[in-house]
Amino acid sequence: MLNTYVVYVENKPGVLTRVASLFRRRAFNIDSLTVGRTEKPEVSRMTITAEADHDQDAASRPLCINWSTYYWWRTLPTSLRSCATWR
Amino acid sequence: MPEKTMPVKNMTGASILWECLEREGVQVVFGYPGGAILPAYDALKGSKIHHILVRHEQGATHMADGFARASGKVGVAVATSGPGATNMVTGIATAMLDSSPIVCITGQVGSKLIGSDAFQETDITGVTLPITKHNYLVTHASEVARTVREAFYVARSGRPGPVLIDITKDAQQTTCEFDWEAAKPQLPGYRPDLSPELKEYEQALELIHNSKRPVILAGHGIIISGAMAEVREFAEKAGIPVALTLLGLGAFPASHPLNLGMMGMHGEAWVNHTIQEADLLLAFGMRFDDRVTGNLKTYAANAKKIHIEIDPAEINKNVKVDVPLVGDLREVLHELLPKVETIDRSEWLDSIDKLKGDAAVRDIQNLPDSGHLYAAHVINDLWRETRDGETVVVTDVGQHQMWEAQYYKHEKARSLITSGGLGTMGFALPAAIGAKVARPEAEVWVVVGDGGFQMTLCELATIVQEKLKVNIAIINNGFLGMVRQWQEFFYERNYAATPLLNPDFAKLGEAYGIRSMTVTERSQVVPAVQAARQHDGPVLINFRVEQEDTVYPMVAAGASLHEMIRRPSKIVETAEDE
Repeated sequence: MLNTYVVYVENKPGVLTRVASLFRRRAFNIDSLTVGRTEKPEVSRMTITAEADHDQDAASRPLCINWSTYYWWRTLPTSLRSCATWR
Repeated sequence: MPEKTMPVKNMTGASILWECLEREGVQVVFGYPGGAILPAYDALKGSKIHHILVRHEQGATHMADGFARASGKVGVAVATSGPGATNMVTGIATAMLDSSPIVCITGQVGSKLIGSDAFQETDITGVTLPITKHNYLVTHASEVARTVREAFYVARSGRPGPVLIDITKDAQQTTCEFDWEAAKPQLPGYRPDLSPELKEYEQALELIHNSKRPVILAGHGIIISGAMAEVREFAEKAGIPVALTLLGLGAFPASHPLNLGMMGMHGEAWVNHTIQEADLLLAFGMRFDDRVTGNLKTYAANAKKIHIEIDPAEINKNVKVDVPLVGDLREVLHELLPKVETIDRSEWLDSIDKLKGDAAVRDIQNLPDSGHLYAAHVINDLWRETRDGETVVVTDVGQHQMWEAQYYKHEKARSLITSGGLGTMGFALPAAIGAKVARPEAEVWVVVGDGGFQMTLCELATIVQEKLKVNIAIINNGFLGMVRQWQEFFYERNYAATPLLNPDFAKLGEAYGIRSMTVTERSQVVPAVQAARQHDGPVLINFRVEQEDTVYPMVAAGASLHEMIRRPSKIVETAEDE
């Protein structure tokens, strides 16, 4: 079962590695990852699709990435944020 | 700083570093010099900060961690590049898993040499990516001020954690203008100050008022948030009993009638039974760690759960909760306290009391004196002697850690410092040094096993060099106790690599210049503790305890929380029962 994540990050070196590393820590396999510029030059948008770990009941357990390390994550309105993250 | 400070021209990166640390309230750092951090050490003479020289960088990180846990302030450790930085990895991971605010500063080779496999170069920022809350690589002197300010902000805000700052040698040596005011943290996406919605509060209150068998699960978050008084008021007002995690010990007074004691793998039996029979769990600043839940499929199956937690990532991570309240515990409780009603729960509390009766028969304190010296006796005697003052007990990891949790009753927060999440052996001695430095007026006791002691015993020299009064109680059983216990239960007593051939610890202590003694009899314990307290320098006591002793009760890995292995009493012959 694939979940899609849309993450707004700072357009700086090392950021891609950090975000990808968050997935690795929780043993979630990244199916596809793309990153590109947005209309703001200092912000990039990453779109990641990932499959949850097979042992976990993906339907009942939301993906547990450590949000507290998402320092560059733009403050999206709450409704959009929940769309972007939990699905 | 009350006034706006003017920018200063021509300060080296190194001087800016120390100046920023001072402005963040740092008075002590723990460190070990080396080539890549030498410019910083040279600039120390211009600073009021006191530097404590350690004997191993792992010790420096544990000292910073112990400092942070004892005081609530951010602890700082300093080391050089390469091996100095990699020696900090264990300490950083320890702080990460227990949400401890520390800032680790490492030197790095010159920025032009990065990536060339230079002498003592490691990509420490890459290595510590998964074990730091955040880390930084500073390559220009102009970045130092903002990085340090940001690092401290990140370390102490929201859910605290370790932050690493890697500063290249040229960033330390070159000069630039230092403008404190302009160096504000810039973290647009970091929102540590979330609050629950009104309807979530209402849902929580509804659950609390409708529950017949509620239990509060009290964790480390209470101490971090400083919400001890609020939790006590809440528990008393709502009449709800309180179970504690290992790191929550002290958050709720042990002597309080509503206190159940520690829960989990080595928690007392009645606590675990209570949780399994509860119909509402209120998780205050705890994260449903596997040591506390046992088998998740059968954990508190009949209970609804309310989770008050500052880190949204913890919600539903291990256990699915019914009402998450994401925010600072103290503020959330302030909102709930006026609205929670007092309900008579004496029936529930009476049934819990009945469960306690069973355990008294099996408690080691109630077993007849067999002439053996048990670790539990040592710890209980230590508790009786030190309970009146401001005592901080720092434990290492293993059987003694569990006995300490069971037999030393903690009344105040920050009176127990122990490595819970990572379970790092060798944590105790350096962490106690950090705790003593943070709280010089407290009486600090190290309770450590013979295995863990040998991992970081070089820091005995730090104690002597800094003239610190730290009392060390070595629970010496000649074994890697906890591992031996698992081998006894699950690997048919195949004691592979667990017997330890130890040196004479008393002689070792004397060699370091510490007054030391060995205790082998039960009757010698109290006089030794009293002598240690009266001596005005550090003391090391080598307690030679029973070799094959077991921590009871025990929830085996994969077992449900209520399926505990209990201490065989004289009446019941079998070792296992439900």
